[in-house]
Amino acid sequence: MTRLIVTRLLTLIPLMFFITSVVFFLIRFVPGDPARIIVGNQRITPENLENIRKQYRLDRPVLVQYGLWVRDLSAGNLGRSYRQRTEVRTLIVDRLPLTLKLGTFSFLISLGIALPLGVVAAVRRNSWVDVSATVFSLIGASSPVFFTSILLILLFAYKLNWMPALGAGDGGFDQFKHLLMPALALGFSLAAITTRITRQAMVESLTQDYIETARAKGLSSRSVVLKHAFRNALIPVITVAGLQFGFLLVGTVLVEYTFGLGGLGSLLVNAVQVRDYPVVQGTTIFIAAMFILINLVVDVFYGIVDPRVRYDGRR
Amino acid sequence: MAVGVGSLPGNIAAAPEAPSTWSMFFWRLRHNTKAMIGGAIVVVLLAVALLAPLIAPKDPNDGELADSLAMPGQGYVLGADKNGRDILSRLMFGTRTALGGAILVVAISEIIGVPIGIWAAYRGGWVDETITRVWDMLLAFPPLLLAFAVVAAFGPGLEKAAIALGILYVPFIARVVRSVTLVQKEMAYTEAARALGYGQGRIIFRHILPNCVSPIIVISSIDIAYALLDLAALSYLGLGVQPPTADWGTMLSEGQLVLLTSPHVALAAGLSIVLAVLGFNLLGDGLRDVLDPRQAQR
Amino acid sequence: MTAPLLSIEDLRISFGTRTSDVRAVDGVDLEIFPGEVLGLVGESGSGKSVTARSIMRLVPMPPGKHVSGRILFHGDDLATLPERAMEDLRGSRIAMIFQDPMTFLNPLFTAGEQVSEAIRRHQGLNRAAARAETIRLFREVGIPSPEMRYAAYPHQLSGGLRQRVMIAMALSSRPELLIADEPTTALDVTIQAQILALLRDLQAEYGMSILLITHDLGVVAEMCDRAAVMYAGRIVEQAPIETLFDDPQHPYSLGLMNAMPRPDLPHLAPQPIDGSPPDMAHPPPGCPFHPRCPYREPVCAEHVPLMRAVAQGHGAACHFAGVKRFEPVASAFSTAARP
Repeated sequence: MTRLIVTRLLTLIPLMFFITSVVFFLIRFVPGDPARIIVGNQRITPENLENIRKQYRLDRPVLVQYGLWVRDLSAGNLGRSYRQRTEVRTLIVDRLPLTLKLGTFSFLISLGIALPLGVVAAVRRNSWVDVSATVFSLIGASSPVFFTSILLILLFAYKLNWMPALGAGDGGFDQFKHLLMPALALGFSLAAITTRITRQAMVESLTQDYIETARAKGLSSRSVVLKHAFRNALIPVITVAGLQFGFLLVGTVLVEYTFGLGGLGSLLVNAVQVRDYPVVQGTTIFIAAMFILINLVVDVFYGIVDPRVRYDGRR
Repeated sequence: MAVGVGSLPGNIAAAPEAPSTWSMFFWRLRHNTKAMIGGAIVVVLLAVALLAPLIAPKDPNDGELADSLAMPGQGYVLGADKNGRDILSRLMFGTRTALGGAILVVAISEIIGVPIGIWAAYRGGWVDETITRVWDMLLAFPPLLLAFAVVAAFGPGLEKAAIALGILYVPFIARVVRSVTLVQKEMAYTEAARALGYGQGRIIFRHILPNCVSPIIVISSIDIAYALLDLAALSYLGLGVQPPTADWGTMLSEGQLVLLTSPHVALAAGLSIVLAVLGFNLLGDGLRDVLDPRQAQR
Repeated sequence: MTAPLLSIEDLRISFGTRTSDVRAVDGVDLEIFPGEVLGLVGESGSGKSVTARSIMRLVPMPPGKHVSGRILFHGDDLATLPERAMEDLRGSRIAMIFQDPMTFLNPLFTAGEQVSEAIRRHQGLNRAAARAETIRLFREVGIPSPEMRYAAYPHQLSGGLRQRVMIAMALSSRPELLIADEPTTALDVTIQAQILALLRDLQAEYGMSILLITHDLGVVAEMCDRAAVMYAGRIVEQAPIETLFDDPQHPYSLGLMNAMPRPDLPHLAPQPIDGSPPDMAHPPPGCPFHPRCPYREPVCAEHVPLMRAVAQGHGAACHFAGVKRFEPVASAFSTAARP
């Protein structure tokens, strides 16, 4: 198990390296003066521009810049926002809790929809449940999450007046109320794919030989489905759920923007809009690190479900 | 392991060759509901995109401020937006923007991805290993996130966004081409072709590329659906298509501002996106069923 | 004569495809007596596996369809028994072991868990007691260091050990009937012999009946008291084992014997039966075997032969059973490796 985690970490480090390099070198590829890009469209005196060059070490050779930047990164120093005159790290730490709540909430909602729906669709193939599950996952996968959000706002906030349309609320239950719709919108989108995969995986595992053994043992169809088939179906579902974390991260960005939530996502979008490059760079790297961490957790979870992985590190 | 998610694309069916295979292909296509519905949507959208200047009732950029936010009916089939521009006409021209952008993304990814896939499979060894590693990483990482960084560096715009996404989509296609090439490379007839003294070029053009055709068609359709979603998201955030160009994503974010009073603006734009993405998804799924029955059974 | 433990009467099972119905089992009558080992022999696709599975009602329906027939077990018709009662019966009074113990064991549960699950299901034991019983069973079926193997996952066990785990699972509730579907086909030759020996010992000890499904006449010769030969969804011959090998009354039985490799008689090359089994969606008219039969006459293409008795306990469904003499190339039974 430890070996598994270590090997996975070793393969994920290059991804981290790759992404940091891409975001670092990106502005060096842009025609023109990187200092000007960091400043964005603002007017600036030549002295200030010179200060920025110093601050971002743009007067040094590119590789030296890169080395120093990576050193700062590993010390947790993500640089300074030029617009907000704050440490990028502080900005991220402030915004993170909301995004984490939104992400976790959405993920739980998606599993709550997808797992039961997928299992029932697989067990009762070609029934109305199965057909609805297929239609749901097709439309869900084709509907952009920001449009789903808008539909929910229209229906629940404007038509029925059940829920607040915008903002993050004042913590506690009020925040829960404010997060419910964003999480639903994102949860639906995630559930579209997970439902499809759960159904496929269940159909596949229900036709395996060991299901016949379980039935021949005299187990009820309930325990055959929920214990023997479902546990095996979980393996591909976990794979996809892991891959979906990338989608979840992008989804929080979009949903936060639509609902006016001040999380990590709106930090990133606003920074891109005003071209606050240090913030974009720092946030992207932070999200990538989170992504890698979550992937690691998924791998560990894999090991818990599948003994073949736990003992041999096979996959 | 057999319980994998997508089975390896290595077992994608050979491209239709003989005429009988073609008629078989069309027979199965006609009996595939998904492909037929998806195909119909796609054909209609393509027609609208091509004929937009001819069929659009009004000039999409010419607004009548007096008619700002007119409801559907009142002289405008689907109403007017905040600037008094005809929504239906903007949707029609928006089809051009959306399909044009998405096709550009996929074209870029294929122009780069197909040679890379073939090269990786042919060279094998460390070249293959390195390339596969890199795209495995990229596949795991959401393209949109890196596209943000590109827009932050280069500034917003459809072309820039499309190029960035196109590059980030390369692994999707390269992966499939590589596995098809690997299979074909080992196929007996390729061995025979080599024994007869054919060059690599001939093997690639006569055997490998034709076999890549059907998987590429399937992937293209699905990738266009993804590209439509990603481009719409960028435009919605104001990072893609810039006003006043008619675009669904921009229309949606404009519509959100007036959602309470005039929901028809956002609904029209949003439903157009859903319809287009659904069309290409259905077509891609259906084509996969038709071209690769073995994989479709699951 | 004792009453049969299980009797199958006119069983017909078909599988619906889009274009036509495939008759997998086409009128099978079969009796299994207490304490006997009955072999059900045939090529793949002959319907022997479907017959066996329909006793446990494990044939998935749909696509399968129970067309007709009764399966009587202690006065109950298993074809119509309520599902609840059927669940209670499966794995307790009738148990089954399968061909490939790798794919038939759930990869995500330990060997011990899978056996003790069956014990808890039918005997209401608690976890600890079921564990102790599982370990006892493991020892009984010859699994070395059973405590250790309890916690082993299927992929950590050899093929022979996996099959022993399956046997332990099947025997856990002392079934009256054990259905063994090609239990040794997936195993190495040396392991095959060990597993067969184990089954024979356990059968004697438990006094249960075994329905042994196999395509291997060598296994039948070694294991069975009686055998039924299946072809194209029907039983074409049944007889006590010595009679079947010395005096086969159906050309298909004879063909199977001639197709057997004979390590004891190396000068006799196996002679496979010409042709292939019929397409069960469109079976030939008359005797289903006649297109491949070297002894066929015009009547064979017109009338379906009925099972007829040629001696006490010996019947064959051939128009010429007891009329023509079908001579084996060499007697399989008398020289087979039976101790």
